[in-house]
Amino acid sequence: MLKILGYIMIIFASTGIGFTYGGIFKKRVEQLKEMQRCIHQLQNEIMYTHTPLPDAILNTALKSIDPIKDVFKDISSMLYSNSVDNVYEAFKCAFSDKREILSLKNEDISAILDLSKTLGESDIEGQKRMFSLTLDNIKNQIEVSKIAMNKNLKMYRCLGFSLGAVIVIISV
Amino acid sequence: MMDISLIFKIAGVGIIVILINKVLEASGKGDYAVLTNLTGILIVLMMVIDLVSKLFNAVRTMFQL
Repeated sequence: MLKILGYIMIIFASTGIGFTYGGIFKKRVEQLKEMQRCIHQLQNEIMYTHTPLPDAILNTALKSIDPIKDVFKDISSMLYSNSVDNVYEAFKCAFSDKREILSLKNEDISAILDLSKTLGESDIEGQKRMFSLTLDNIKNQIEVSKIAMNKNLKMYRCLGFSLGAVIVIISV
Repeated sequence: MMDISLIFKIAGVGIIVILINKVLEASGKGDYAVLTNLTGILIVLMMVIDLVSKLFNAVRTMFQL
């Protein structure tokens, strides 16, 4: 009886690991979409209401969801407290601090860091161009990550269960 | 008399290995699929190696070698 319980636990645990690992790909797509929405909103704040950057980023943070919210909040607080030399550094610090809770890959983050290099350092037209470039990049990343998700989500779920089943069969 | 459950065990491992193989190949990871097949073969070999050695011993004793 206890043995059967152990086997069931092994199968559930390995299936759970498979689901969690596959979930990373799903989370990446969700976070990229949220990031895209946030950048659109930041663009609106800068283009139409001419809000100063720390306020604009804080407003964006308040209207977004975790974990992107935390990143933007950190950036805004860094900019408010003047603890960094430029906007790029603030973005870089915030993203490296929150690296563990974000499912984004390095290329996604570097697309956003490229945007931060020009934020607040050129005129409206220059920033507009940079925003459209970044949004294009993020759109591409979303497409790439969607393809990766479709490929890998099912695979990891299936693999998790199968490996658990193999372990159970061998140890029976 | 041989233990019949070993056959079922090998069949189970075989089915799961085929499943993993199909899934890996469908998601374009052919090299991992080959690796999984090899692992499956190895696992089954580990299961039967005891019996194979028993068989050899039986043959040896039968012919008094």
